[in-house]
Amino acid sequence: MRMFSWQDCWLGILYHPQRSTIFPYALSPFILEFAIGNSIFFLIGAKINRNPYFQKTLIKTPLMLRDEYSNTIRSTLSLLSRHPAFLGALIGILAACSQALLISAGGPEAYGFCVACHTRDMVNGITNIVAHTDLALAAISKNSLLPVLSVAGVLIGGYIASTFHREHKIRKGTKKEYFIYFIAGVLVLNLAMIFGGCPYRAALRTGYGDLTAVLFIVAMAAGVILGAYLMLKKAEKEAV
Amino acid sequence: MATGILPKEAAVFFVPLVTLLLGLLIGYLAQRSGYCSIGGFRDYFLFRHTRLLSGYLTLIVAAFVGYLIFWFLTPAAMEHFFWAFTSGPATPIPGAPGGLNTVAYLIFSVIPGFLVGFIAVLLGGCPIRQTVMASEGNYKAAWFFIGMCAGSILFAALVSGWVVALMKALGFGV
Repeated sequence: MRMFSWQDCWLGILYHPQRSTIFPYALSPFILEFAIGNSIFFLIGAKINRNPYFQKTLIKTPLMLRDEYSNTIRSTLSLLSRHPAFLGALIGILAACSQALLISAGGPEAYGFCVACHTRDMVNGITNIVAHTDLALAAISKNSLLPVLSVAGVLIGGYIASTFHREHKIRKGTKKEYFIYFIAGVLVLNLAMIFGGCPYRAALRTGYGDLTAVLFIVAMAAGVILGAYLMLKKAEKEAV
Repeated sequence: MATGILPKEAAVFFVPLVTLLLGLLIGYLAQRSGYCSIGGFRDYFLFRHTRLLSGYLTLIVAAFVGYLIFWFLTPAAMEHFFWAFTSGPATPIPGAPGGLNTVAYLIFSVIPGFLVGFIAVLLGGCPIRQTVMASEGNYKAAWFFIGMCAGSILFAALVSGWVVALMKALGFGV
């Protein structure tokens, strides 16, 4: 069996005092300049198209994201973070990643992110811990130390984003509206749990190969079209 | 029994932490982008805007790609990928109340889907949009979220039993 040696690690041979010649030492300022300069450009978001060194590695932004500020990495990231398709891609990949990490704890497959199921797990799991009840849960939340907390994360993340960008604003309604929204929340959660997931888990299940979730999405689109059509008719009637 | 990257003893500790971080990231970006699945279909139907709809369609494609990648990397964690081939084309992934036959689950996907779409478009957003709007300071959306919390206890205590009993009385039991 071959032992580990300094030749196996080329960063090691660059900075190893006995083994290296003058040549790696001569290269090291350039390597450091590349690493530090790259990270400074990434953090500060300087205009990289001025620098001929980075012109070849300029990020090619899609046409829909391109504007006069799209030549820095930071502004590209800012534009990307405001596009829904980026978040959609992120949820899909991270849900698969979290299943690969955590599926040993149990639970259904394609359960990476779901607003209805994870609300159910969070509320029922904490109720079970606090009040010693035995409400139904997914296995992943039943086995683990605390239930899944992604909805709490969504609430905190949305609060951080809205305060950081000064979009947090109290908008009040009437008591009748509160009552309607409360009943609608109860209804939507029960309907979603009868199917076994909100629209997001339906998308994850479709990606996982479940054909009943395709039916859910088609039916949901039909319901949305009916509701939007009724809203359109009502708006037309009010305008006339 | 599927086994992931982490062993069970470690995964039990990491479940709340990993899902909390995932939720933080999703909540931040959902607030920035105004992400909404119902709103995507609504905007496309009313105004032919494809911005929000592209988010939902990308989610479906990215979920498939992500599960495919991790099916290659960690096949033990993706035991039943691709579900339609491994478990029969019309059987759903568990999550709905159990003990019923296939036709019941097809009904469970069509009727709730239609009603969820209909109710959510009248309220102006899908569950994640309502949650994010609640965190932005919208009291109506906050009451929607409180309704979801109350409905989860109601579902576990009463509604799931009622639904199973109803479907069995209609002849959809196993």
